[in-house]
Amino acid sequence: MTPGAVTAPSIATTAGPSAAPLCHHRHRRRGPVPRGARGSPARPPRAARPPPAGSGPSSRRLPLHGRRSRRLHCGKLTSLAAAAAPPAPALAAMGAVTDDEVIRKRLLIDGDGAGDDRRINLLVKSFIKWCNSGSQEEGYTQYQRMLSTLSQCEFSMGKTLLVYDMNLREMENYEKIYKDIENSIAAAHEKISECKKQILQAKRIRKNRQEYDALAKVIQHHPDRHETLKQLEALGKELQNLSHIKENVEDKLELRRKQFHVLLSTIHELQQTLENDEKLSEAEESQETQMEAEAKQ
Amino acid sequence: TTPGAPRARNQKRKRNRKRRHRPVAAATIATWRCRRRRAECGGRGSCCTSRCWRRARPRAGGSWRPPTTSGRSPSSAHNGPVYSLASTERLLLSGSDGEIRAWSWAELGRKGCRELWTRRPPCRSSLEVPEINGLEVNQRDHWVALAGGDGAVRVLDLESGAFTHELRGHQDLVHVVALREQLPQVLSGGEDGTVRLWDLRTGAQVQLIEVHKYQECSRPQLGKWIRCLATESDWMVCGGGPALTLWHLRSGTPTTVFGLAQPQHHALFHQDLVLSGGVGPALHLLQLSGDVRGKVPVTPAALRSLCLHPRSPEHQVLTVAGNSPKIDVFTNLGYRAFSLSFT
Repeated sequence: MTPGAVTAPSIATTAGPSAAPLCHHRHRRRGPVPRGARGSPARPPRAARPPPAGSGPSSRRLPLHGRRSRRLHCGKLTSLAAAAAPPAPALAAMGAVTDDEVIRKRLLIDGDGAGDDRRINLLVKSFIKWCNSGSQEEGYTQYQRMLSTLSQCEFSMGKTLLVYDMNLREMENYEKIYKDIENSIAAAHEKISECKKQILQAKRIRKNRQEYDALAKVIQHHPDRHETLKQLEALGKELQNLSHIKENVEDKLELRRKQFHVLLSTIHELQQTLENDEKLSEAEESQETQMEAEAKQ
Repeated sequence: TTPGAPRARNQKRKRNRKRRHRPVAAATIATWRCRRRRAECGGRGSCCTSRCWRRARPRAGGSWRPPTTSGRSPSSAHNGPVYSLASTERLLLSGSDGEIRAWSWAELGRKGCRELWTRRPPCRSSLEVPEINGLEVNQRDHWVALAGGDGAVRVLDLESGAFTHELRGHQDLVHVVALREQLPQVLSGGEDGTVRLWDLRTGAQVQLIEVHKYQECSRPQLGKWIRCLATESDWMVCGGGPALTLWHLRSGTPTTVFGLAQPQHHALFHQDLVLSGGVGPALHLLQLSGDVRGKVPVTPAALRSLCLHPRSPEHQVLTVAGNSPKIDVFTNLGYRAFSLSFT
């Protein structure tokens, strides 16, 4: 093949929107190049077209299977390159942007580079090869190989779907957990404010207890009320006794006083009587002497 | 003068002379604006503090500044030093030499704000101008009790603006007043060492406690002046020259003597604690049983004033001020959160 064709595989073969360039490729294949004419005349001009700038940050060389497949590969690659590059030269300015986007899209879709896209491309190529193959056994083995590749593709598609489902469910799960956590945060806040109120209550209780203790200490200094009452009673009784005695003594004193009074008054009377008698007798004597004096004259 | 006793007013700020080159002197009193509520976590909601300080010479006007972050220029509040501050929902009251002025909180921050009104209590002679050493506001009934330097406790009705009571009985100047919550009674403590309980309905003295006569708390080497007074329901805590003691008012007996060596200048009841500050760079947290629960170091060398935000018991903010150009703010009573200072 022409060296240009060999150097052609410079575009990244990691996946892109494989469907679109494939269709494009098919269209282009069927369009300008008729099906039978796989010959070189149409190729070199396309092969000679330089690979689009900036489209190949990662260029990979394809395994070269055989001349025909190589040609097929090169043809496909060049056509893919053509498809990747904006066909109209007027879009050369936007070339970098669109290329980046295309590359990003391709990386996204088959970012792990396991080659789903490559597998599909291989499938297509092998199908075309099988269509054009002549012999029976080779055709049969190729047919089997194609079936296995197809089932592998289906399998990987099924796997991706399952993964997608799983991701969705996982997201739901996370949403639920998130809501639960938010609820528990709100509950914790409420609990905290409850506990603060309880703390205030407990502080009030403690304060009351301390006030009580302080007063109790003061009260303890004073003597017990019962004892004081008993002492009071005893004192009262003593007082009563003493007043009793005092009364008795006073009564006695009164009695004696009265008796003495009687005695003294009797004595006085007697004295008076005696004095009176003396006076009378004196008066009588003086009268007698007077009468005698008169009688003598 | 005995050490620790309050000196004459003019001499009080001598030790702050060296700070005069900065336009900031000792902040002595902090008071809260009641209206702004706690907003968020940590108890640091919006607040507005205004600070007054006393100059060594009374000719320099007493002035105050709003918080430094706003960077507003100082305005002169009084012609003399400002001795006390109190706050209501809308007003800030400041007491100075012989007059009490009211300022609106809403206008305080702006430049050139003027006072809403000024009241001068009637004094017996023009020579004897009483300083207003203490101010306490009864929020419910809208009156203010003033502790006068001439030994009289006056009551000013905020709605009518008239001085309704003049309670005389103290032999010397009155340092501090405290109000009882449930009853219309006023407690006053003074330089003569007595705490008197006045009933406002009769206008007479109901109880007299001579603190220095009780052996447990009196400290004759420090004096008998009573500087700090706080009351809650039936209990009262008072101190100064005598040791800080918890009294039961009904029986008039001292129940617990707190063993603090230095005289205390301000005390507060808070939840189940008594907070007190005085000489010595510490805020004491005391329990009613007499235990010292904590001794928190503060920036000022001596504390003169403590102020708690009056609302919201869950978020507590305490500011303390004293002999220092910085005011300490506490959100948790165990440690100092930060300090405010003037620029």
